[in-house]
Amino acid sequence: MDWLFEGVFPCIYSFATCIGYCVVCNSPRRTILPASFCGGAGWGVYLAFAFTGNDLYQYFAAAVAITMLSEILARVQKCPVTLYLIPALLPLVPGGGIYYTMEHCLNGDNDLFLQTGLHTLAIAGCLALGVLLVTSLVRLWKSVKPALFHPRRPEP
Amino acid sequence: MDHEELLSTVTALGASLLENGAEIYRVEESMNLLYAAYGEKGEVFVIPSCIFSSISAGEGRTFTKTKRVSPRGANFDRIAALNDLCRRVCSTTPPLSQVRRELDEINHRAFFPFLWQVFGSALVAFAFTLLFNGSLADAICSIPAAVLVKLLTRGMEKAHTNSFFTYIAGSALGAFIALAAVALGLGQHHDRIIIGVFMNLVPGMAMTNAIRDIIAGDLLSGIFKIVEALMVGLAIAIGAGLAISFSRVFWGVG
Repeated sequence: MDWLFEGVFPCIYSFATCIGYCVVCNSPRRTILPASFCGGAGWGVYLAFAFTGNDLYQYFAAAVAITMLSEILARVQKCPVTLYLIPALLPLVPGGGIYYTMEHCLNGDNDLFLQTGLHTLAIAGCLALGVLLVTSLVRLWKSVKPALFHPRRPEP
Repeated sequence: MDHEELLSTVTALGASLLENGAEIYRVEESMNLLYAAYGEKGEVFVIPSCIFSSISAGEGRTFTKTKRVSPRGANFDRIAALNDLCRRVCSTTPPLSQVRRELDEINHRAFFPFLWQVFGSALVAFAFTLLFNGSLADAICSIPAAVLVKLLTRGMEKAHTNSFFTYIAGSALGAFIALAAVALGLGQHHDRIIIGVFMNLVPGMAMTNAIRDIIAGDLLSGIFKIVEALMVGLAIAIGAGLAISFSRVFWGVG
């Protein structure tokens, strides 16, 4: 039963978090379920990369997966990518990091405060890097594709 | 072609996109495409708080419009509708009066009712507390906290309080309720309840939009939004910190 509690339930919680956030952001009804699916799948990828033993890799992999899914869904449903990306990334935003940084600061625990604070910033950086990588590749593909499939003939 | 009408219609559409939380490049690209669809060459410059747009009308005359925009928070439904409108206008170029009418319609589209939004933020807090290994009791405690925080922040937004203070107050209230719930024995981990409530306040949208702006080369707007994200993160940490240190001093809990 462990796999159910450690593997499946977190993805469902992540899915539910995204549904709530979509309602708060007033998403159009047709994108709520796809965007939340993105969020659930992203958490699944996060858990699947636990074998790396470093949560920064996990955050990076999850951000890459979420951005890829969002780009695909946006093209399928002809909606802006951010409608999927923003809700789906929400469960990964380091709210816990912000809290524990603050708590170590209150306790006067400077070493832990700096360590947690830097780790929180590193998580945000990893998410940014994941999004940046996929979005830049998509943009590159968009500009290269016409040249590949419709090469311009030289004027006679 | 009436240049002034084109200018004001396109700028109004761009402003609507911007204030509902679209990225900078989407606003600039939409406006440029609309100008091109009506056979004009427009120059558009957008930052998160302002739109500058001009078209030349030939014979050395230029029309320019500056539109100050105050962001109203995320409204994805309107972004999607405006995006559709923009696509449709670019392919069919209907008369401008019709574009104006449809734009007004979109700007008056109904939100999810406020009750639904309260429900949404309660769901965010509930599910995220569970995701963060909180117990079911913690998750249930996070619901009233999220609801009250939502009511408070909405009230303060209506009263035009500055957003930094709104976030401090919201997060302090959430932390107080979480600490009270744990002190009364209703929940077990105050940290997990607070993090669940935090999730309604974290700058997820500012962060994502900052990344996308920077990728698109809008460094100015990217920096603007990164600073916004850092400020919001700082504000919620300060709020919860205030609540926890107060209750440590006066009640000895936390």
